[in-house]
Amino acid sequence: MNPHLAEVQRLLVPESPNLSSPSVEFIPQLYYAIHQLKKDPNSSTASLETATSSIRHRLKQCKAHLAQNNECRELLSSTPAEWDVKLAQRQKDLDAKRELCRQLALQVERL
Amino acid sequence: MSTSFVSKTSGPERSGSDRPNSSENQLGKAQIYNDICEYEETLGRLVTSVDKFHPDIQSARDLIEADKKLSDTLKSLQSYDEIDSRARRLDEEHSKTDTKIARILQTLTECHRDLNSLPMLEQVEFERNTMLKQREKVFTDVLLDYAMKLAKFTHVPPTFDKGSVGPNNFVWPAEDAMRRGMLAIASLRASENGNEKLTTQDSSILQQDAPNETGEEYTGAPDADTEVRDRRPSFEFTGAAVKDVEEEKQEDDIDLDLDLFNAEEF
Repeated sequence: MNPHLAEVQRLLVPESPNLSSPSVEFIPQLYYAIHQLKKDPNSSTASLETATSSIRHRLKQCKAHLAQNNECRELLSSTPAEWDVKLAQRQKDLDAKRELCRQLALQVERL
Repeated sequence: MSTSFVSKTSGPERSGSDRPNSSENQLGKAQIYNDICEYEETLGRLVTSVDKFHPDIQSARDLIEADKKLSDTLKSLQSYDEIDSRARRLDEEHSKTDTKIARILQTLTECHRDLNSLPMLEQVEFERNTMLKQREKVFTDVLLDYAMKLAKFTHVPPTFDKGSVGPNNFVWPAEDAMRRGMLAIASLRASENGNEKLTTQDSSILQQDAPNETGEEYTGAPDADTEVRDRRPSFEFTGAAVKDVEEEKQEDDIDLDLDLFNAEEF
């Protein structure tokens, strides 16, 4: 896998063994934090802000990674459908270049 | 909620909209980046409401929705990975093809330059024809020199009107001079004075004697003096003479070709 995409996935889904169907595990963590808060609402140290700090930290890390990495940004800035069109055009260009190569070879042979 | 988020986040990011490939614009187009921002926003609202002891159920629902969207976007990373692989393969193929085309064009350019530096076939043929024509020509002075040599051993042409030109102006020798052989006399004199060289004095005597004996022999041909002076004693078959002949043969073959004198005939 592309290392930049793998890094994004590692930040958002840190312990997902199945890479083909990753799922964000933030909701259970939130549910547990809210549950703890509900159990002991008078605790001065317990707050949802503190409990969700790790989630927000990972989200920020992921955003920073996307913002800093040009290649990853360029790859993700287009939808798969748009990429299909772009790649089809590139393939067409490549075919044209190959045809040019073939014609040059023919001309050289004729000489 | 999500719409308001997009309007909030897209505001400052649109500053680079006039540059389609700017980083802000690219980030604004990246679905996963927008989903993360939305997730952050919704989570912040939920946390604030809970910490204020006024939990907002709508925020919780929005967060669940955002989580679902982010999970879906994460699933699409696999297809992005395939796209990346295809794009890399195509880029590699492009690069190889570009290199190949550049090499072919460079080789063709070098061949074109080499071919242009070669002379044209028409030019070569023209120069060859010119040289051949030049070789076919016989220059007047060469022809006249040869004619003067021949004249020394040639009778007067039977059709020539002897009354028109005086004997002194004849280019051919008199009959008796031809029989005696002017060159034979020169040769004899050369042998008397030694085989090594003919001195200038001898040659001058020879030049003085020759007109007396031959009459009109040297009147119109000053070059013949030089020929007489330089002529080898080829008629005496001594070793030195042969050596001299060989040396002279190496020096000037044309002179030998034109030497029609044979001492044995006299």
